[in-house]
Amino acid sequence: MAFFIGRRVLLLPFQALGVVTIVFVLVHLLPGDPAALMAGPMATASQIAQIRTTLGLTQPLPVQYVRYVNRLLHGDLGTSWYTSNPVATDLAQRAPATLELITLALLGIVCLGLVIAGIIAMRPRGLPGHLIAAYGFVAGALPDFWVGLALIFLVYTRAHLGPSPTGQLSSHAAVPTVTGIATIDALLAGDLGAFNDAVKHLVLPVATLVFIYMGPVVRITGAAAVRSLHSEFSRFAQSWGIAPWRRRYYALRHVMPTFVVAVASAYGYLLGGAVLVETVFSWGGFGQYAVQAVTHSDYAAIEGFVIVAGIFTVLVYTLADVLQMALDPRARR
Amino acid sequence: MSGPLLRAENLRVGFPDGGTWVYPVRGVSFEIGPGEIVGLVGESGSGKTLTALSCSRLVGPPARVSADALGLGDVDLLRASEETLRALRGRRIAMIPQDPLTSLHPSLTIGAQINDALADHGVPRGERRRRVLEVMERVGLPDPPGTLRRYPHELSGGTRQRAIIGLALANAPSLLIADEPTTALDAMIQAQILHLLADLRASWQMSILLISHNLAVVAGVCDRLLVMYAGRIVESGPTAHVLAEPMHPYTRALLDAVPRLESTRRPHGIPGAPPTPWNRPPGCAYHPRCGYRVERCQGEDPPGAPVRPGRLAACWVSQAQGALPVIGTVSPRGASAEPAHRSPGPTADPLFEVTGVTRHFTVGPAWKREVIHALDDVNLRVHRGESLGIVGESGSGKSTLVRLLALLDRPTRGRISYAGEDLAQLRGARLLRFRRRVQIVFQDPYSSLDPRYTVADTIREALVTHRICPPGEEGAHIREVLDKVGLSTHFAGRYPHELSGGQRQRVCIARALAVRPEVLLADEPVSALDVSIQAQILELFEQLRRQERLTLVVVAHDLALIRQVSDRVVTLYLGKVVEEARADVYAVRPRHPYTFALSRSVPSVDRVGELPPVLVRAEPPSAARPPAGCRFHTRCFNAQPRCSRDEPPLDGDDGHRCACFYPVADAQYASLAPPAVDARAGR
Amino acid sequence: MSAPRAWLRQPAATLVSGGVVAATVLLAIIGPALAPFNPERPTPRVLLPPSPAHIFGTDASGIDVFSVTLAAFRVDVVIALVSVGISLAAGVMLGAVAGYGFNGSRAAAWGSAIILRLLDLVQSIPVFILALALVGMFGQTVRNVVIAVAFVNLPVFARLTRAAVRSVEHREFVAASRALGVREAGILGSHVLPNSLDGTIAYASIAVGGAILLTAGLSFLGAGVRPPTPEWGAEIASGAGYIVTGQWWISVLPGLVLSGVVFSFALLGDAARAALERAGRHAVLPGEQPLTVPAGDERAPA
Repeated sequence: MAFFIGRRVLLLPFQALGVVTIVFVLVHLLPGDPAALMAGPMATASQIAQIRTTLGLTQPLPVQYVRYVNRLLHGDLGTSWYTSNPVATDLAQRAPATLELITLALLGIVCLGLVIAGIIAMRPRGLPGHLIAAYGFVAGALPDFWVGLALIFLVYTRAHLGPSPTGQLSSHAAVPTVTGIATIDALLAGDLGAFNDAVKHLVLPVATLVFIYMGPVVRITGAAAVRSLHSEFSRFAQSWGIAPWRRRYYALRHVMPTFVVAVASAYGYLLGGAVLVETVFSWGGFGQYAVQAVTHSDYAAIEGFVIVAGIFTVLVYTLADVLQMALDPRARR
Repeated sequence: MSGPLLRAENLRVGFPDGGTWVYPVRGVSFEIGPGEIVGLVGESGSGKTLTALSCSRLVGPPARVSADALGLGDVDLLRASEETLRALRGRRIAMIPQDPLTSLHPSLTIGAQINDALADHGVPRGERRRRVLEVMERVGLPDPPGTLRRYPHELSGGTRQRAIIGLALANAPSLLIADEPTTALDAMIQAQILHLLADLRASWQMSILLISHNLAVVAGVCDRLLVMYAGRIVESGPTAHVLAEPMHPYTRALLDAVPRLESTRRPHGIPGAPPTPWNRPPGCAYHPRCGYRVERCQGEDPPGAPVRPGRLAACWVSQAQGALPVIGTVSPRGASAEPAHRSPGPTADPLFEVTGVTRHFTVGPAWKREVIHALDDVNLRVHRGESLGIVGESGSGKSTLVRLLALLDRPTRGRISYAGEDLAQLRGARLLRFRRRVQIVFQDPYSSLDPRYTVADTIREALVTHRICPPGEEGAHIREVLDKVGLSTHFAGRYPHELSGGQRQRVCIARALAVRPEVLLADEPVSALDVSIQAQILELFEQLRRQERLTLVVVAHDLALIRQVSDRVVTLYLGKVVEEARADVYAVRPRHPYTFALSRSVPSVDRVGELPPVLVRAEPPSAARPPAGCRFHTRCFNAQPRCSRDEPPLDGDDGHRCACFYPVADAQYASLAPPAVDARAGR
Repeated sequence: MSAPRAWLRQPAATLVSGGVVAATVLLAIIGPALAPFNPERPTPRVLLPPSPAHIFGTDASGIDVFSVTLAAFRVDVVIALVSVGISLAAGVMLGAVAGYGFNGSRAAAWGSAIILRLLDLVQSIPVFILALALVGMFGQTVRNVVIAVAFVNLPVFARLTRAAVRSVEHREFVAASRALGVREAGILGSHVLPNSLDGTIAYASIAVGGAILLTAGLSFLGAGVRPPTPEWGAEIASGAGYIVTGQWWISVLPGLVLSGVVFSFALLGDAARAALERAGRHAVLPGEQPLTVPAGDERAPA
């Protein structure tokens, strides 16, 4: 199996290069002078000229491409005209907060999703099954940002629970930034009050993401579990007297590869959802940076977050493929 | 133990259908004694599988199972709790499903699944590994400790079926229900599995209910037969008696429909198609297809009643007369029927000339590319007016060959010409002319018609493509060609899903005939059909061949069937032609050890209680790594050191050619054929 | 079975969702005309809660929220329908070319491999992020929103079509037509595609809902359709700041309407898929299967 996994991991750099290539092509499809676009509306002629030399825009396209990849390999994503910082620095500052948000949401989806798939396998025809199917549809139809707003209204405005739903920490509970993840920073600072505050700030955005993005996972996995229960192998197992619990286990074991794929694609979507949910909760992470870049036509920043998001997604899919090879012998090809 | 092991009385299975109930199984009664093998025979849709599933109480909602009695030993299966039933399943009654491919959990090893079966019937952990190996040994799985760790998709078809039998037998049940256990397998593997079943009864005193649509399969192993039609048992009795003197017209017609390897007697199809539970005719369900029917049959459904001691038949005629008289085309067995029509033999006019044709497929990703040797250096001629049969196991390259002839695929090397024209050079109008002259019929009638095209649309496409008639006048041509294949005009507006398998295959033939071809290629044209329908289609081929002066090339895995439709037969083994001879030679005196083994592995309805011998290892080597020298030497009983070095040429006169250094000797016909070798010889 | 009776036998959910979808399309045509107030002109009657005069209340600029919600049907639904139409057409075309082997043509195999790799690349960037970046780079106009939404949806349509085409291509009626001499393009057009589109078309309905969500999401961030053009996401955004102070109606009510529309498209697509699956199944009794035969001979590998 190590061989198959190794082979899959070797693919990763090529996929990352693909993402970079797409961005490169998109930027060169843009109407107008890329240097002027990168420099922003307030740039002087000499600044534009300087960017033109850095990007090598006077040279033929293949040379530009090689320079571009080379630049990225050295961690240079250009400079944002809006924040005047290197894009890489900006992103590095904001990424941990987003990573915390979507990783916690993912954990929630995996745990809850497994429980729900288990319930469906136990009672495929019962009321819980129908409720879960209905939930899957509803979650797919609600906008995540709207759910965030509705939660704020119900929990904060009406029920007066929790701190003001903006940011990762209340202003009174500031702790020194080390990792960029408020909960961990609070723990590092030994400030339990701040930790508590940070956790409370996490509840609503994470709940919003879990509620929305667990929908497809549950629907796909649930349908697969029901199919497994009625498949040929399940019927044959009944004919040799399989224990009822083991029959459910067989069905669940059979849908695990499907579950992994569904969760992996949810993780990809979560990154997009985080952009919206972060805006609702003023989270100050990667997503909000992206929105700011788009609304201010900050091209270097847009390029930067697309590349980072793409490479992140490629990483997640690689991980999912590796997991699938572990779970399904037929995938080891 | 005294008394029957399993007893079913008036068993009925119903499904709700828009407010009413339909009964695919309606009043089935039978018994299985300890150590008895009972065959349940019938066409698809007759209710065999549902009957079998009901015996394990595995028919779930919305279906409803009812019976006057349904007992396994002293347990009342109808009233047993789900927990009791679960404990019974596997421990006292087990099943082998039809499809070995999908019946095992794909991501658990064989060993793990057998282990689970033992655990769920209370075998303590310490004993399980020993028991797993024991079971695998018993069902003849090769290399038990190694196979233990394999996943189902890593096993070949025959091995997988053994693994399934092992899983079913893990807890030593007293009754085994085998539902078409060999239908998806090649003849040699089928023979092995049948030996295994017989062996289980002999050494374990196990009772077996063997379900099959093929009378020849049950004839060899079963003590008693139950013949099922339209949800009822229409005849039952000891195998030898039922087959020697059937008491129900349906049984007799089934027997007449079976192709026989040994005789030139043509199989006769049963007219019409079996009814579905929705359109069952009143009275005896068989009467519309029956040659014996009397007035009473249309009004009253005959109950199963004793006709002779130990013989039940649900037929007014045999009940009244104590036997079935001999009438019309249904001839008594043994009497010489019409000799098969044979063409005058190959003319000096070859249509197809296949010269040194090789077809390799490359499969797999770049770093472990494999070359599948589908065909290697094949030479062949098809003469005008003859009927050529091509036979071989799956993987022999026979379908590849027919696809090359139909120009659906192109050879890797070599040349195929038709009437002197090289197929590789055909373009434009000449290509279209070739297409018109050579037509093909495929195996699966369910996938060879476009579900969105009516019958008329399908035939019209052929007419329009080749401008057979002026636009707008297709109607008359469509009627004409439907008539040729025995379908009435009102089929023209039907969609494929409204047709039965046999009717669909007729439409496929009509499509091919519409362009008035010279050659009709047929790739396993009847293997997806019931025996009764198979014979109908074979009759149609024969009739068309005479009337339309067609040249036929038929590919099949069933040697008995090939022998019935062909003048000349070619055997393929792993992409090589190993023997070529007149069809009758194949039945009596094949020379190549492979053809010999293949012909002996075909079960026969005429040999009751006798299983076909397994002469060679059943599973062929991979076509990706064909053995050096003679490709058959790894399985051959005559192999000498020379066979693994040199490749034997296809030698002999025009009538009989064989690629073998040590062909089957005269003495071997006597010594090899009758005595069955060990059931597990094929590992 | 006659067509009307088959229609009546559909479950109630299908009828309701079908009705809502029909009403949605109707509102996209006449919605703005029905709006009781001008959805774009500010008035002094700001932040009024729902009342008989303003059943959805008014927003911070004094605009009637109900009027905005009605008028937005034209913007959101048209953007969604047009963009899905584009991705459906382009996706089916790409998918057909990528899936159909043209009887083992080498050029087709290469073309297929290239298309697949390109789709892989596009799909390696999360849908929402790609759409956001596209709109951000090419400018925030309605036309660019349509193009961006169409572009990010295209790979799914292409993949669905490709998978269906590949499975249909190996059915024997295709080989039969080939043996008759029907040209490859003709086989693709008259046999393969008609039998491959069921799932794709059912998915298109679901995708319309997805496209509405995407458009609203972009506009919510200020990166899509911009005020004062009436649009659901933008209207929700305009009320977002007032949620904590209790003026919930500005965001909540348009969001509910949006969700109802998306939900109906999804339900209709699912019902269509289920109906097509039922129609595609052969009338085989439970428990009785067609005969299986020895696993066919080796075929040209996939």
